[in-house]
Amino acid sequence: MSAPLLEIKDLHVSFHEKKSKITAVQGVDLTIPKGETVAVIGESGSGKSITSLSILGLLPLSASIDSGAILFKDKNLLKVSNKEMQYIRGSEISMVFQDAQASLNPAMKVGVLITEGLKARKKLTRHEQRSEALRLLRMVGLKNHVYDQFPSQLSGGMKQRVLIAMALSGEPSLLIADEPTTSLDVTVQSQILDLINNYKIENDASILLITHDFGVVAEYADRVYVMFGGKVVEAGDVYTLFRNPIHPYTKGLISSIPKISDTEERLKSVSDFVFEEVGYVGRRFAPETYSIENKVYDAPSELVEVEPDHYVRLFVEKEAVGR
Amino acid sequence: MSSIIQLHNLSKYFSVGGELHKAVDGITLDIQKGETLGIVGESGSGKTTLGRTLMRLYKPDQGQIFFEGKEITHLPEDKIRPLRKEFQMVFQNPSDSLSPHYNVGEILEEPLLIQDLLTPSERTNKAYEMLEKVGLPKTSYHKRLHEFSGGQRQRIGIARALVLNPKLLIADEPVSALDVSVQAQVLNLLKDLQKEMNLTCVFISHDLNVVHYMSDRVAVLYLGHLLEVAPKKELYTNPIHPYTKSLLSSIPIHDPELRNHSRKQIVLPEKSINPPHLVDVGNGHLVAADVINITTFDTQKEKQDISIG
Repeated sequence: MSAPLLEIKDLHVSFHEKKSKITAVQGVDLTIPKGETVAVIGESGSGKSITSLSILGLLPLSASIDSGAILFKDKNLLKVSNKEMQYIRGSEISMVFQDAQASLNPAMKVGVLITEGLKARKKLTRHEQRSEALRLLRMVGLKNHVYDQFPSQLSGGMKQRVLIAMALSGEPSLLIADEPTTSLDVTVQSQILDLINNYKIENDASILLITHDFGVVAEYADRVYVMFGGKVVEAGDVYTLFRNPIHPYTKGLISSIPKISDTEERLKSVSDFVFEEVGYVGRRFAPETYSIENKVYDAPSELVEVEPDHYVRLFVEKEAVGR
Repeated sequence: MSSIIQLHNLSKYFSVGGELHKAVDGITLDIQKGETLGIVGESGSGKTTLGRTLMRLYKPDQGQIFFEGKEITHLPEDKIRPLRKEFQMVFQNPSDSLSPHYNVGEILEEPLLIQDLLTPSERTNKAYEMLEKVGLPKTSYHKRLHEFSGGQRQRIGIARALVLNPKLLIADEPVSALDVSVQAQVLNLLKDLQKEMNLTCVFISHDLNVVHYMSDRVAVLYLGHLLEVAPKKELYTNPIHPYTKSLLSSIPIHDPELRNHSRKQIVLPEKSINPPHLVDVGNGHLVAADVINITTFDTQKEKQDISIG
């Protein structure tokens, strides 16, 4: 593993609503090495998006970071001033969101959208701005005439490309991609992910890929963090994790996706591996116990290294219950 | 096996900004009794329009639809309504397609009410029976939609579609809005119910893995045209149309050891002006003729020799 570019240490994030407090992220440790793609995989409510939003200080107002540190180039991003964060966003770390439609201002032409970011960062003449924007459009595989078009005139894949062009305009050393291809067709998905992957290789940049799709992880990630209920339940390099998944939730996620190579008549679902005794909110945000094969387990607090570079949150057996 | 639905040269056009958009263009297809036909295609391929047109939710612009041998293409609404209990639909997003104002019991009983079937108490019993079928507790009857998770809501959507005991179920992206773990449960449920109720299924999805899991036969749509249709195994192991090939090769492989598999160049053919003519290449495998050099083509024995251009 090369030197870390970004390290998240013991991050706790919670939401406050009418005096009640819901913990969304509970003690996440995550390392993004330079030049690598780190995937965070989990389902809705696992805390994967909240973790990524914490990095750039983009959490919703109802959320607050209770404790932890996010170290990036010797700075704690949780401590930097607003002005400094403004500089980091876009120039050092940028983000691509799932919903390109919602992320692009519909009243601005693509050219304006891209040059807006350029203007904020570099002193360029109008002509230079335009040629730089056109270079970015070409880089993401769009033709020049897109420069004068509105987002509504573009297809979903093209919008996502524009968003990537905007995100890469500051040549960030870390690109956070939060479900960048979830709403796109498979053929477009592979093109977009290849685009992001090429940027990583050419610029020795790092990618934080937030996804729910193990197929995407298998194709593009170097390291994987599996999140469940606000915690990392398993982490490791992608080859190890696919060869030897240990946590029942990881196994469940992997086997609940139909695969063309499968000959199985029936899909296994996550609940075949993990069943949570706690209620719905509890399941989503803070499981205290798990039950597997009729045994109840405490959710323990520590990740254990079970083989080199493979960490699993192990289970403490509590008592057997019938179900 | 006999067909439950036959489509002959079916077309549905929309007018977009004064221009004619051929969403479904000249599709000829048979749906056999008891099978699950998967329909795959990207956005804009016309898969949803096809599903809705064959249910007569849209009025077709050209071609014919036969349901159990009887033409229903131009039946007026009052004649089509009694037939609707034979074909029902499960939609992508149950939060949009089911009413938040009704409780679950009312949602499930409404189709029976519209069809004027059963007495009120029988309808209630039927609703309870459907809840049990889709694996929801009896207490769900009096609850409203917002009290359920996404997967549970889709179970309600399925229960509503099946309450009339239809012969044909059209499921349009039924699991696309769900988390993968929930997805598996809903897919298994659909499979079980299909067997139990002896349903014919049209399963529409952009997800080739899911379609593979669910279907017996798969049809590939592209810009409103049917390009290829074949039994599942045949289509996934021996795709002929370059578009089908590139579609299949762009599915992520769930094994990092194989990540440098040669991904084929993605082929997005130009839309042909006329609907392609399908040729039977054997094994129930039909493919658009414009990619096959028919002169060098011998149906049964030399499938490898098909030249693609």
